Amino acid sequence: MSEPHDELLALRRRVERERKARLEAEAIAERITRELYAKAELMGLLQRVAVAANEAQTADEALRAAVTHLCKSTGWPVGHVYKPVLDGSGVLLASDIWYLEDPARFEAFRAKTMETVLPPGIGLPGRLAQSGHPAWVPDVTVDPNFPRAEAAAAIGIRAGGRRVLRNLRERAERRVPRRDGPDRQPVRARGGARARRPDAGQFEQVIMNLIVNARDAMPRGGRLTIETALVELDEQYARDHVGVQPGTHVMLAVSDTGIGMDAATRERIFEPFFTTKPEGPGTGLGLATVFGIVAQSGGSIWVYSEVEQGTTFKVYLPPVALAPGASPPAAATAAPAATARPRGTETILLVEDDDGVRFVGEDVLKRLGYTVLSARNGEEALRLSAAHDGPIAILVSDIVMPGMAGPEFRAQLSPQRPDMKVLFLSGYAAGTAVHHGILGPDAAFLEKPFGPEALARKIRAVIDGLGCDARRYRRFISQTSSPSGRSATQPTASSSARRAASSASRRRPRGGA
Amino acid sequence: MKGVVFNLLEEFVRRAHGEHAWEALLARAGVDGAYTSLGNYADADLGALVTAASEMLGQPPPTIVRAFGRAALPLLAEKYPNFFRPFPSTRSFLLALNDIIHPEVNKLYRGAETPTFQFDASSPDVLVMGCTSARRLCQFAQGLIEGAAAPYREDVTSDETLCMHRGNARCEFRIALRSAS
Repeated sequence: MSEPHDELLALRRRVERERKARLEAEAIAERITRELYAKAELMGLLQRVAVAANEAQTADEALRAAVTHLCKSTGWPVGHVYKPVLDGSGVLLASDIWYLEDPARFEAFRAKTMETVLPPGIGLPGRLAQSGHPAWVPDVTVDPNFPRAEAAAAIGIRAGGRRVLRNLRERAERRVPRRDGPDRQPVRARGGARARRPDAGQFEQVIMNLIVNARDAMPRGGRLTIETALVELDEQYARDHVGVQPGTHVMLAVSDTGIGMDAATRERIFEPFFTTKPEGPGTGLGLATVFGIVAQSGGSIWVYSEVEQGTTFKVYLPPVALAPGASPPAAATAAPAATARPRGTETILLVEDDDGVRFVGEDVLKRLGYTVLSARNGEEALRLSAAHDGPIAILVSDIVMPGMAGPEFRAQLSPQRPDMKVLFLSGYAAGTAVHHGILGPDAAFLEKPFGPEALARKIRAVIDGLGCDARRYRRFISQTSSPSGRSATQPTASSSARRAASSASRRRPRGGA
Repeated sequence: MKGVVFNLLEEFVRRAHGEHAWEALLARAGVDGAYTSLGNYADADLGALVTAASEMLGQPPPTIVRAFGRAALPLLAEKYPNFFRPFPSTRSFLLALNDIIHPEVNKLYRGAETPTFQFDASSPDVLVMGCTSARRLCQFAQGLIEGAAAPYREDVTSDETLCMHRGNARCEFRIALRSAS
């Protein structure tokens, strides 16, 4: 039995321990609070800069807004933009883009700067341009590599840094439509639909961020495709996405043929400050901003990606109204929820590496009366086909899978089963699949995400000989070829919408975004 | 009142008067004493604690509050050395209160009602510092000013020439600083 003295000591130790724990918890909470504050400040700054850049008419105007916001946010009294001489030398010339908190006080420094040419590595801007990394000099007046030290000392400038402007400049200039390559396509909404809350600036930011993301995913070059369409989101999709209502939506798809993402990366891409890019190019806010804007607009976003194959982002926005004379997509007028799903008794070879999609698909099709041969990949599909004596009415297959791709094993199966119809499934937008040469001339195609209703109807249509999409998309692309011979890849999801788009394309001249 | 102020008071009392003094003060003041640094608590709690300390020590409340301010600043310097590190002297630290220190405080304590200071730094020997505070805790501010000199090993004298408690629109301190001998 312990003595009272020992009990008191134990109690005192416990009190001290708990006090220490409290102090540590407070320190952790304070650190996190400070980090959150800093990130919120940064996000606010980036948002202000992005909005200003979107509203600007020229790159210089965007840069002026950017440097002003940056200086006001940081409290820096002087901000200035340098531009590289376009001869590859890396020499920087002072621009006339300034932020001066007190123009009279800083005039001498401004004048000195305007007459200073900075080769790579010289001065603070030269150091940034050479290294590509942020630079900070705690006291420019004593720094041996700061040519304007005397002028800075005269007006009391001590510390100096350069960090964001280079990226801002790139971003601002990327906004300006360039038509110097076959992979940049103009974007124009088709189908007569307008998204809810059509804030042009915000939506432009969504497009810009997705394009920048796609570009960064293709460091060795590739193909960027932008598509718009009217699509039908079914009950199943709406149930799986908070705030989404089933029905007709405007879809914007931005696809690249870049490095793609694995599942772990896909899980996190919309998190603020998550980035896979090396230090410098990415803030980790681009896709988070996209997600935020789309969510605020009552829309949703869906991502499809295959490592080393590419990525497609599909943004779905509910339309406010259909423009006069425009037709809604066929699927939207069919009242799918009230109509029985078409059934069948044929045999289907279902090939899909995504377990979730395959299990659901198999279950749905079996319930509709079909016999389903289910395979995880091309090799397994070939074995199942070889072992099955009866006819197979249709091959329903993902396009991109580990090992053998859908079109590849389809080519191997065709000689043995010449009457077998084919329906490809993919997260690629339809036009992208055609444009990238993924679909053959006689292929039918169903875009992910899709619900049971869409799958049932599409399979029935293809089996009945009504479902070839590739020719239609190819024809549509041909119809919308620009005068320069480049194709404007803007297919829509339904025939009626395609007619409207095609008609619109004939009425309006082609142009950039 | 932000919890960190109560934490500083607790630390001050424990260091100056021993482990049990804080418990005794809480009991006399009739407050529960569960204060975390990021929390918000009633100003009345601080008033009750100051009144209790005044009764226990036999000193007037302004003296208690000023002594607390004088002790609190070095404790803050221990807790947040980065707030002090960029400044080479008490004078430069005080001059940065509005633009640097208080914004930093607001990062941690969102909505903190920090006082506003006005400066006349024309004299190299005497810094004139005006203070406008919603809580009118001018003795606390004066104590903090005096305490700010400790981390910089400087001696300070401060006179309050104007005071909101005497009907002035603001409090004003004339501050003389010199290196500690």
